[in-house]
Amino acid sequence: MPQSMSRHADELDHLFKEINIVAGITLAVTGVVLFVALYRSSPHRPVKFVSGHVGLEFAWTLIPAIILVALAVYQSGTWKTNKIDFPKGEQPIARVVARQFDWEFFYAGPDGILNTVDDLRSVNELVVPSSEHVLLELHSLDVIHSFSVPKLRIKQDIVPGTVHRIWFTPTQVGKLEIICAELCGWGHYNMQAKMSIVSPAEFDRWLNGLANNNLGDGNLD
Amino acid sequence: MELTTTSETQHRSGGFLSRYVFSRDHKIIGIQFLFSTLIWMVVGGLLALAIRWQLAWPWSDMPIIGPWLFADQGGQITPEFYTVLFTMHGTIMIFFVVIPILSGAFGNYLIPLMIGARDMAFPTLNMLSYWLMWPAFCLMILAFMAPGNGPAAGWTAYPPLSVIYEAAPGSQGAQTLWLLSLLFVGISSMLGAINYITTIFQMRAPGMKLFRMPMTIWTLLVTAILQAFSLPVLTAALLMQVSDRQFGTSFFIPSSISVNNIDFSGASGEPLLWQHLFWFYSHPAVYIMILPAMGMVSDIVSCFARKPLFGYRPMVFSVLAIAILSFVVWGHHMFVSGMSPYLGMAFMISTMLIALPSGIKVFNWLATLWGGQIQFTTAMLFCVSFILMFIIGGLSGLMLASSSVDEHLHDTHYIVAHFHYVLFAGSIMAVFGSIYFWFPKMFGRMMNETIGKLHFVLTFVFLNCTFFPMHLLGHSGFLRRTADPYGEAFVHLQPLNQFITFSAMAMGAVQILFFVNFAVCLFWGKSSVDNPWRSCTLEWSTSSPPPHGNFLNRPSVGSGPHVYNDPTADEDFCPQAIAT
Repeated sequence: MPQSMSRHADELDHLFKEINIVAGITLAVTGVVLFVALYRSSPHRPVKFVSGHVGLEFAWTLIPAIILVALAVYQSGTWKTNKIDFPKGEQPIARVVARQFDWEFFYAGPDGILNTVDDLRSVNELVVPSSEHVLLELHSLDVIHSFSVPKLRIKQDIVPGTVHRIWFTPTQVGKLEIICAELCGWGHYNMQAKMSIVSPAEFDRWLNGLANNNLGDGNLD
Repeated sequence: MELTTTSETQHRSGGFLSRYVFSRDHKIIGIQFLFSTLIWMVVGGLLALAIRWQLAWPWSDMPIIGPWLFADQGGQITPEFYTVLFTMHGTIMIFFVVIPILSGAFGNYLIPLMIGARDMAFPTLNMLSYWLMWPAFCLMILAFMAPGNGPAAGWTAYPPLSVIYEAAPGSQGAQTLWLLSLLFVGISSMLGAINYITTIFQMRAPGMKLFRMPMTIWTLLVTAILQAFSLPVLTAALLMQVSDRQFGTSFFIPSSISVNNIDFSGASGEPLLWQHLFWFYSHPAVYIMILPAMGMVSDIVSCFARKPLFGYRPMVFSVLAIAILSFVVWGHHMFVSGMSPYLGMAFMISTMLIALPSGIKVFNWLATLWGGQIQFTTAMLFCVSFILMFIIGGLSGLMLASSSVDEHLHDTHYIVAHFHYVLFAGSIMAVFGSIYFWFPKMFGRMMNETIGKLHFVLTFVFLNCTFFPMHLLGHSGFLRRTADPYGEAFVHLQPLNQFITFSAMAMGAVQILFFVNFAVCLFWGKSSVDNPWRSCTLEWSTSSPPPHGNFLNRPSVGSGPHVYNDPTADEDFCPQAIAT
């Protein structure tokens, strides 16, 4: 697992570890049973002529059923927090626009509102502040792309014609990589961007710099 | 048995063409499917090695064959061609190898023999189902050879990439040829499925009750039903894509997008619709690709453990449960697609549930092996390894079933590891086992066991060296389908990738053992007796190979398919056919 840089990623790593333990125990138990069955077998040992056992069938139906349902319920908490319980009343910090084979990021311009003509534009570099909630709005101009940040354990397909939203809570500042995870054409492999999580003060400085660089360049689509 | 004699005479009087090429005998058709799919397996395997070459040493000249294949690029794989490589590898392995080798080859060969029928219910339809594969083969080769690069949208062909010419300019018309090819495969499978269902329900020998059918037949029946119900959806979806590409409709093209500076403002479709339709077929297809393997493994394991299959009825019911559930889990391919998160939760639960019948099957296999007099024939080794590999593939599936964890693992090499454990280490290993098992019946000769065991051991070792490390790649977020995945984030993974590539090459080389064994024993193998494995099922009651019409006297069935070591019987097995 790559370094974890968000609360979401921490949660997911826990879940991953827990399911891995369940899977590991199952593999170990079945593997040992298989090995012993093969090892003990001999052409001379008399075979017990049995064709089934109701009790056993019930046992190995019900016990896994309980474990599976428990897993399903247990993991749905993480899913709910990240996908259903969006922070209410907060505006996205940036609009992510994907197209063959570049990432563009738009920030609210002088009017302080996103998705207006004075938006600020940054190509292949996304900077976000380490605030409590970071919201992003995702668009695609042509085919399906996928916004994937391994260090945040985030992956969201971007279907053209649909606006997607994602959010996360950073746990530290640092550099990350954005990669496109859905096949989008011959240049798919090259569709990467840099991302940084910085302190709010630094974020404001960066945004000012961006404003000086490309005032009025943020035309919508 | 007047009829048998008549058809025997007719058959013999036919020329070479009607006997071996346009034959209506299910055995010949099965063997035709077997040979065709084995050839395609070689093609698909070579494509896989080319993919591995690029992942181990991106943008480097391919030795020996590179300058010949990619003369324009100085012997390197281009990114365009790389997308073609994995698209074709997936398509060929799924539609030309795993599905037709299980349903087409073994389904055709075994169904009439194992239920005691003289042939399929519709022999001509059966012949058609094979010969409809040829337009599919030709169109696929054409798609590969056509000007430009070939189909490049992945085997899943997600629109808009797959339906807009400008989105993949290099592919030109190849994607349309690809779609037409799959339409033919679909029609072929559909004809096969109708035939299998009718034959199994209508043509069983006297005494062959449903609950006396071998597991192979049960799983082939359920597979045929899955095909019959899910294929129409794929067919419709494929036609919609053809229409989007050729006739200017926009089922899958959303409004106001602009591809390569060309506007599609008049469109009003929905790309996600394709994903729903595609996976509504392709998830049941996952079970179409594993259930017959499970059935054959069940019968073979019981035979070589010299024990009745443990829990025959629960085994049958778990197959039925898998079939029903397989229609309501397709959304787990779409956890990150942007569909409603509530739907994601529902699909997560149904996906967890489908692990249950698969688990029941594993436990029953283990109980069958427990305390048996196991005979380690090559066929048995492959089948036992199927069980272990299926456990690993199933458990990594559990990881992916969790929608949250899937968000990180989706589209990484973890998925690649998962489905290769199920489809290669699972289905294909079971296919190898089944070939070693039924080869004597098909050709009247035995395959060489020593070479067979060597083939097994080396394949088993190298497949694990190839596919297991892919789990680790996936943990790191290492993506699939990228021509050069080594950004700063992944450069440390290159040595591991090189190890995988070496293992894959070795695994490919080992298969030469199998093909040589197969080809040599076809002509010079040791002659086989009628029932070399002392198996109960009906196909072993007739000669090897069986005559046209299968049985000289129609058999009657007096017992189940797995009566091994019955203390009341004289021998250690009790054939299903009542001795006359």
